[in-house]
Parts: sequence; C-alpha cells; structure tokens
Amino acid sequence: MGYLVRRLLQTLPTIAAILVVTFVMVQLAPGDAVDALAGGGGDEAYYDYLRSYLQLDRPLLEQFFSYAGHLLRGDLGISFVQGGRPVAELIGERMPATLLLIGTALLIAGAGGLVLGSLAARRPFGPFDMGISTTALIGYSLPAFWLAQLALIALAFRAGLFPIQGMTEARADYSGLAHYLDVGRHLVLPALVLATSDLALLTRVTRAGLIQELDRDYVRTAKGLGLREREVVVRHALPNALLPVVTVIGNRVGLLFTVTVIVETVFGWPGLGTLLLQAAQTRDRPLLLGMVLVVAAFVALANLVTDMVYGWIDPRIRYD
Amino acid sequence: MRKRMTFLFVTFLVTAAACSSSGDKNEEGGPGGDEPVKGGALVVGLSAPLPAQGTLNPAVNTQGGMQLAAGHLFNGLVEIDDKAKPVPELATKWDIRDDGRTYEFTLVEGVKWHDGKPFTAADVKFSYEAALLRNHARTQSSIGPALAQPCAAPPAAPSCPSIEATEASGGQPAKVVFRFANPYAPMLQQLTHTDGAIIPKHIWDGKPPPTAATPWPAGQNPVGTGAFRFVSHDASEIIYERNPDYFRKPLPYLDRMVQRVVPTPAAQVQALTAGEIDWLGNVRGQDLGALRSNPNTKVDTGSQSAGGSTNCILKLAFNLHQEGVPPTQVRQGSAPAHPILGDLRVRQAIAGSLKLDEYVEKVLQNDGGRVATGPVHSAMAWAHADAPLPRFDAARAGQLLDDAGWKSPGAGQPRRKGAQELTIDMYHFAGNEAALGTKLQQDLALAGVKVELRQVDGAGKNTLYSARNFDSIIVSHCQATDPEIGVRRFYHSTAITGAPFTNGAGYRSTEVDQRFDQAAQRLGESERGPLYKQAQEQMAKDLPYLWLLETVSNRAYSAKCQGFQPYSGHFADSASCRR
Amino acid sequence: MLRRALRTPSGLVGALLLLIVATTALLANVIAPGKPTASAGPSLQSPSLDHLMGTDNYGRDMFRAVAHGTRTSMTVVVAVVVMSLIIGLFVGMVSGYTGGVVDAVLMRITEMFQSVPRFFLAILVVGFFGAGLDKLILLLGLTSWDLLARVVRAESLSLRRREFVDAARSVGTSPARILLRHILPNVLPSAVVVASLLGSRVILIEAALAFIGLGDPNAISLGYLLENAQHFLSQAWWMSVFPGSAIAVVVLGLNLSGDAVNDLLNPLGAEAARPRRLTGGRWRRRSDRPRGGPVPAPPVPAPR
Repeated sequence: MGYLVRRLLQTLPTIAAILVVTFVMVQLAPGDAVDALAGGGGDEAYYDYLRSYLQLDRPLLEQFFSYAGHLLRGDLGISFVQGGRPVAELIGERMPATLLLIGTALLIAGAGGLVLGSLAARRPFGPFDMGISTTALIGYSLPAFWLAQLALIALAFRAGLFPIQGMTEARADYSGLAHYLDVGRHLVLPALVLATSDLALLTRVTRAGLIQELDRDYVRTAKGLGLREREVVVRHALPNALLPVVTVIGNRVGLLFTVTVIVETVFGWPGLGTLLLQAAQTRDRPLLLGMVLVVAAFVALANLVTDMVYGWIDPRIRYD
Repeated sequence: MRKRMTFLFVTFLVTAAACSSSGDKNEEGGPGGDEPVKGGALVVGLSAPLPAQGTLNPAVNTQGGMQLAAGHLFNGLVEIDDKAKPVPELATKWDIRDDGRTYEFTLVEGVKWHDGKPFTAADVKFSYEAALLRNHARTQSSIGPALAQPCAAPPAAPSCPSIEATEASGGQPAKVVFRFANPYAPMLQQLTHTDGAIIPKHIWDGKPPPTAATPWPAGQNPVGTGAFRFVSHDASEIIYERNPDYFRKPLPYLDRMVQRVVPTPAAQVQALTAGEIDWLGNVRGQDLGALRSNPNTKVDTGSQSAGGSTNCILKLAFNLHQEGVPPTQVRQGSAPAHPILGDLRVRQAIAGSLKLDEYVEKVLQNDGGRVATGPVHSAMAWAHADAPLPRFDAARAGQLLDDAGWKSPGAGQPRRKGAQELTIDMYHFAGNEAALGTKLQQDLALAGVKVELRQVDGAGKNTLYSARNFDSIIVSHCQATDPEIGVRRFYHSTAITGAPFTNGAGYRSTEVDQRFDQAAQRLGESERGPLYKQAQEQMAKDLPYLWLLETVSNRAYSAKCQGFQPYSGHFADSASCRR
Repeated sequence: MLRRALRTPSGLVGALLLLIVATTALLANVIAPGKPTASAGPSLQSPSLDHLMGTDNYGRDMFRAVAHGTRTSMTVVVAVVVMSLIIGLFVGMVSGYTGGVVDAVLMRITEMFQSVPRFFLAILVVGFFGAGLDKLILLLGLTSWDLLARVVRAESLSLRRREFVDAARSVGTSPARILLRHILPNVLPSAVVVASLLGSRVILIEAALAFIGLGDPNAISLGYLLENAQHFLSQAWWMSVFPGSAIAVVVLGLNLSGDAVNDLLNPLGAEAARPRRLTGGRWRRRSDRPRGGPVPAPPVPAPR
C-alpha cells in the first residue's frame, strides 16, 4: 500500500511539469495570453471569457494557480473555433474511438508478441527464428505512416480486403450487432498497423527473455523431471520473461499515442488523433492545450500502472 | 413446340437487348438524363476540418468549408446556371425599374421551412437586414453601400429602409423590393444561396439576430428551405435527409446525403474509386488521369464551383506599405512604402523571374487551369483585358534588381543592399497555394530573392489582413460572375479596410478608382466593359499583385450516379444513383 | 569496446548503415551537388540515368533531395542528441555520484520530464509559434534527456564504490575532476546506447510532424519529402520509397548499433537488476554463456 501511495505521489511532479510547460508556452506566445489562446479568431464575448479564465490582471503566480485550478477540475476552457463548445466535451466524445483502437492494438501486440516470441525462442537461430527476428527488426524500423499508407494501398485498395476509411460505412445506417460488426471490420487494418512496431519489439524482447530463462537450471531440472516442454515454457519460464515485456509496454505508451495520430489520419479514424490534427490546422489553441494535458495524464497513468504491475510481479522492486 | 421455343427465345433476346441499352446513359452535369432512380444515399467526401457543429449558416459566414456543407439546406432568391445566367429560385420573376435603381422580386408561393412553418416575404427582409448586410463579407460590402438608404449597423437593431417586403394578399403573390441610390448592375449575380441565403425569421423571434459567433440560437438545428434537411452532425460526418416538401417537385431524388471527412487526399481518391464515397468536390491534377480512365468514376471540370468559388485566379499580393501599419492609415495615404516591395522595379523583377509556362504542369499538375492573362478572369470575356504582364526575362529581372540597389553576392545567393538581405515572407493555405508557394520560392531563389513560406489557416489569414504584418500573401481570388462583385474589392482604395480578401496590397490609384466607380453606375456590358479594361491596363503598369494562374475546379463522382449540377452548391438536388 | 561490437553481426550491419548515413549527410554537397530545391528537369520522371531516384512534382531531382534531406534530418538528430547528452550526462553523473538530497531532487526533476509527450508538445509549439526546425530542435533537446540521466545515474552509482574512484578521492582529487576523468569515460558506452535509441525516435518525430503537415516548409527534410510524396503515391512511387527507405536505414542503423553495444554491456543476469532497460535483443548463442562467470540471480518463483 505504501508503495502505491508513494508512486501516486511521484506522478504529481509530472503533472505539475506539464502544467508549467503549457502555461509558459501560453505566456511566451506572441501577443498577450488572450491573444495567444484566441489566436485571431473570436469576438468580444470570447475575449471576455478568456480574460476571466486566465485572470490576466492578477500577478503571474496567481494566474498560474488559477490556470492549474481550472485544468485539474476538468475545465479545459472553451474552443471558439469549434463553435464555443467546451474542450473537455470535444475530447470526451472522441476518446472512446481512440481507446478502442489503442486497446485493440495493445492486445494484438501483447498476445502476438508473446506467442511469436515464444515460438522463436524454442529453436534459437533456427530458420523460423531467423525469419521472425528479421521481420521483427524491419517492422520495428519502418516509419508508421509509411507502413500505414502501404497497408492501405496493398490490403484495402488493391486487394479490397478491408475498408479504406472511417470507423463505419458512410452509406449505411447500421445499429445493434450490424453496427458492431461494421466497426470491427473497419478496426482491423488500423489496429494492425498501430500494433506493428510494438508487436515487433515485444517479439524480440519475449524471445530474448525466454531464451535466457530457458537456459536456467530450473528449466533443465523441470525437463529432466519429465515435464512437457509447453508446460515448462508457459507455466514457468514465460511469466519470468514477462518483466521486460511489462517495462516495454509501459515505456511505449507515449510513442503509441504519437503513432495513433498518424494511423488515425491515414485511415480517417474519428478519434483524438484526427481531432488533434484538426486543432493544429485551425490553430485551435485551447483544444491543443487540453489534448496535450489529457495525453500527458494518460502517459503518467500508464507509467503508474506499469510500475504497479511490475511491483506485483517482482516483489524485489518494491524495496527500490 | 419448336416454333414456340424459337419465339420465346427471340423474345428473350430482344427483351435482353432492350434492357441492356436503356438505363445506360450517364449525364455529365445538368439535370435530367434518363429516368432518375429515386431513393438511396449519396456519400460526399470532404477534406478536414469539418465545419464546427452549430455553424451551418451561410448568411453570416463566408468560410468555404461551411458554405459547401450548408449550401444544400438553403436557397437564395435567384440562382446562377452553368452559363452564369440568373435563373429563378425563391423568386419566380423579377422586375428591374428606374434604370436599375429598383428591383422587384415576386416570391414563390407555398414554400415551407424545414420545420413546417410557411415561408414569407418577411423572411427575405430579415435575412438581408439582420444577417447578410451585417455579417456576410461579400454582400455587406457590395449590396450594402449601394442601397438608397444605409442599413442600421450593429449594435443598433436591424433595419433596412431600402428593402420592402409585401406579403401575399388578395390573390397577389408576396414581393420584395430593393431600392438603390444609383443603377446597380450586378444585383442578380449575388442572390444565390452562397451570397444571399434566406434564413427563417421566426427562429430568432425575441432573440438577438445571428452573427458569425452565434449563427444559431443555442441548441437550434439549422432550418432552411433547401432540398435537404439537417439530421445530425458529429465528429466525422454531417447527415442530411430528403425534404419531402421541397418547392421544386419532384426533387430531390436522393433519400439521404452523408458528408464525411476523409483526411488525406490519397485516401479520398481511393475511397471514391473503391465506391466508399460517391462525390469528391476537389480533385488534384495528378489524380485526374486515373479517375477519367476508370470506368467506375467520372470527372467534371469547370471554373464555376460550389461554395462561392467561381472564376478564381491564384495571385500573389504584395504589401505595398510598411508592415504593421493599420489599414486606416494606409487608406488615408499616410503609410510609408514597403522597404523592399514598395519599389516598382523589384515587383517587376519578381514578375520577370517566374517561368510561368511551367506552372500549369508543376503547380497545377495539368488539371485544366492555365496561366492568367489579366486581372479580370477570362470567363468574363466582356470585361477581361489581355493586359501586358511582364514575361519571363532573367537578364532584365537581374538588371532591375541591380538598379534598385540589390546586388548579388554570388550565384544562387540572396541579394543584398548593404547589410540587408532580400528576403520576403509569403503566406499561403495548404493545397494549390502551398504548391504555388514552393514553385515561386524555387524560381525566385535563382533571381536572388529569398522566400520564406508560412502556412496559415483561415483565422491566420484574416489576422494578416487586419494587422497588415506580411510581405506577400498567395490569394485565390474568386471573382464570381461580375467584376463589381468580385474584382472591385481588391483594387478600389475604399476597400482597404482590413477585412479579409479585400485590397490587401493597399493599392491606391485614382484612375482605377474612377473606372470602377463609373462602371458601377452603368448597366450594359458594352458600356462597362471598356472601363474595366482601362482599369486593368493601369493595374498592369502598377503591379500591386501578380496574376499567375486561372484555376478550375475538378470534381469526380461515381459512375453509378447522374444528374449532378457540379457548378453549384446545390449539386445534389437533381442527382440520383443506381445501386 | 568498439571493435568487439563490430564483431557481432548486428554491430557490423548497424555500423555499416550508419556509415552510409553519415557519409551521405556530410558529403551531400559532393555526391549530389546543386541546390535540392532547384528544378532539375521535367516533373514526375521515374528513376533513370539522368535522375537516379527520379524527379518530383516540382521537377526537383530526388537523389539530391534525399541526400540533402538526410543531411537536414541528421542535423536535427545530432543536435538533439548532443543537447540531451550534455544535460543527461551532467544530471546523471552529479546525481549518481553525489547522492543524498541532490540526487533526490535531480531525480524528481528527471521524473517530471518522463511523461512529457514530446510529439504532442511539438504540435503545441507549432500551433502557438509556427513551424520551424529550430523550434523543434530546441523543444526536443530540452525534453528528451530523462532516460539518459537515469541510465547514467545508475552507472555512476555503481562506479562510485569502485576502488579507483576511492583512490582518487583519497588523494584529494576534486569531485569535478573525478567526474570528468573517471566516471565520464565509463558511463559513456551506456549513454551511447540510449543516445542511439533517442536518435531513432527523434527522426521519427520529425518525419511524423512533417507528414501531418506541421513541418518546416522551408527546409527539405526526409519528413517533408514523405509529406509531399503522399499526394503522388499512385503516380510516382519513387517519391515516397526513397525517402522512406532513408529513414528506415537511419532507424535500423541506430537500433542495431545500439543493440550491439548494449549486448556487450549487459552480461547475463544483469537484466533483472536493471528493470528499466529498454532494449532486450539478445543474439547470443548458448555457448557464449560465460562459464564460471557471475552466478545468475536466484530465479523468481513464477507468479500466479
């Protein structure tokens, strides 16, 4: 329990850092803070709102606390570009689509990585292993947007196996089961592309960890005792190899959000990525700020969860 | 038995032949064609960003994406056909009296708003006095000043004494009358749904009138008279349904229309080819070949386009005055000249450094556009002058720059005048404008002019006009169908207001002002034409802008669909699709 | 150390790839002379003897563009890596060697930068200040040093107790000298591994930023080339294949080299003691396991 509390406290400086960095950026931008947030659009009513939100007539430190107070309460301001809608609402309505995409991708990468890595580790440097390892290396090095476009052209456009854009079919008006199937059909390609880099990495890490584990005495003992190979691997060796896997996933969440922006753009997936792009194109600064905060919070949360899981798996870490 | 079989067989063959030859016609543009299939949904592909929710009101905002999306919901008094001629819409006929000082429109009877309420003449008066003449950038600066008595400006309550609305009574149809101070020729060209959309007065009863910031009362969905009704608007698409009470029976044929955002241009073309979407309003030159040769898609090209983009010229606007000087000061004439671009020789040198004949290929990718030959678009042949613009001459350009004091330190390096480097910034939108900017940067680098490209969005460009802190801007100047509407606001000295897409150069020429003023007071093309041509000759001498490319709009659609009117924002009114 | 790394297959290939990249970047003006922005011929020409990688839609020679683009992109990478190394080494060494309050404070600061989403911050910067490679370098250089600092700190912590450091301390060498002459050379290899990982991330961030249209339009970088190419995917495959391959080569080269050095630094069993190590690729043969070497840590019972 103490560990949990300690870890939670450790996320506070991170959140504080994000708040400071974004606040500084608003202050540094050309014009005063109201100009910086309004960005040329807006009318008198909006400027008045911004002035009260930012408390420009107060000293800088008070401004920061007022700003931080708003943000921590979930009041991310209002976007003039989006017709005066609250930023939190805009982000909230797009979140489920992105979470669906990322969740599916993590599932594919995690399950696939464990399976492929295990299969590769059974016979290191054998033909299967070489094939998988080389593919993993290439998959890890390909830029995501390149891969996304190639996959789109090859699998969706030329081969017609998957839809080209969107989360749903535009012409039809599905509901119920048909709707879920429709979304699922549109989910496959973006999730696969998103999962590729992590799948490749997890395959390599699992393989490496498993090879190391399989070399250990207790494995040879177990085999000598007559336990079957699969049982040894799955029940004993694999869980030990999980440690680096957990580390890797936890560390990659930030990168995953980045790649999500690209994948959502290429496939027209209506999630946070396309919202971010729209906000950047229209210089919708309150929305940009809100999104950076939300993503940072997510990454901090992911790091926290990773450490929790890690601490649960390996009790030694708790006494770090 | 055999005879019967033969007879049946022959009948079968004949029937089969008849069935396969009919229903094959696909018209390119224009309503009609074969028996239109009723029902079905049309999917329109849009580029990001989707217009924000709650902003679909073309009477208070000229933003292109919003106009494109909202156009299907509204009508104007008079529409423009593909020959740029006015055709009746909400007005069945018009009567022009007093040499063009009075316009009387007779309104259609039995029109209903999407919420069921009846359409009245009061709606027309309200649309102009509360919305169009107070918020619409083009209409308020063209029709507004020409009216006999000025309309009340905000914050006063909306009121236009020069617009009279008479409701239907005693067998007489409803009428609306506009009175102008002087003969006003371009009236009929500005009454479409993009420049004169009619909005329902009863929505704002007891509420403040609409503005660009509050296009509709909170929670109110858009209500219009158009062929399609608004259904929903979410993160990636806007959905419309058929308006069963549309006053143009039996239109529309389609049941539903979905406008969906497809973020990347490559995906847009792929989605069209694969059949996921049915209409693309803006296709780049490089994709035309594949779309034309594909039997599943068709391409339509024209210089008249939806969203108010008609007769467009891509041009480079120079800031003739020092950066940052407010527009009011520039209009009065007390602004100092731009240190680099204020010198005519520099502007001539820049013009002479461009290999314009390469631009159609390298910027537009041979999409049907061509090099511009004068400030007024050549589609308005009666007003267009082939003004002698400087052609490519690298040697002469170099000489001009030397004369202006800009010496070249070496090949390919930016020229210098003392310590100052010959650098200008160039603002542009994405797409064709960005491509043009890159090519300009390329050509000017050879002449020793360093160009810094800066991409902006709509709000960013608006700020440039009001703050005047730019050296040059690439503008797609869409001139509509009459120079009084679309050309005057870029050249007349009174148009230096800081409003977007006006006289951004800060050009002040008494000759040009006079020509425009005189032409505004005459009615006939034969009288106005020569005046515009004289103005253009003066402009070509002064070079406040560089007129580079006349662009066209290419749209592509599924071969399963027909009956489009691609030149208008109402392109789907008479469309139908076989599935 | 370097020679041993070169003997492993990944090290050799990685080093080779990096050599190609470095040569291209440094000698761009020699192997592909002329300005990359200049129009060199008709547009959209497929690869030929005149234009080895074809031309793009503006008529620019793609070989020149890719060569100079590599140079631009690598400039960004090197600048950011150098900045991160300076900050990371400083923070890590001071923190690890000094310990105590200084260590705690510096580590808290380091943690603050851990969750900062750099790509999104870059987008934010573009939204507020406009696009530009200089802004990107500054942003990334100032926010990417956290992992370096942590790794260097871990190394410094263990080095602190070594005999030669003790000896230097007892002779009266100033801490600064100890850090520079004894700690720094020994932490450098680990730092290099992390730096290579960082480098590959930087080039991907730059490319991704340009790809969504927020890059610097006045600099020809590999990301810019890919963004331009996406409009011509069906017409001109060469516009996207060559810049994309260049990026892949850089990333692959950095990953392989980093892996090779990492393998040498982490003998068997050290993995469990350094839970936050990222790279895990091990290309060892069973026979390479040191005999009579360090005994592996007792296995953790499999959790249920």
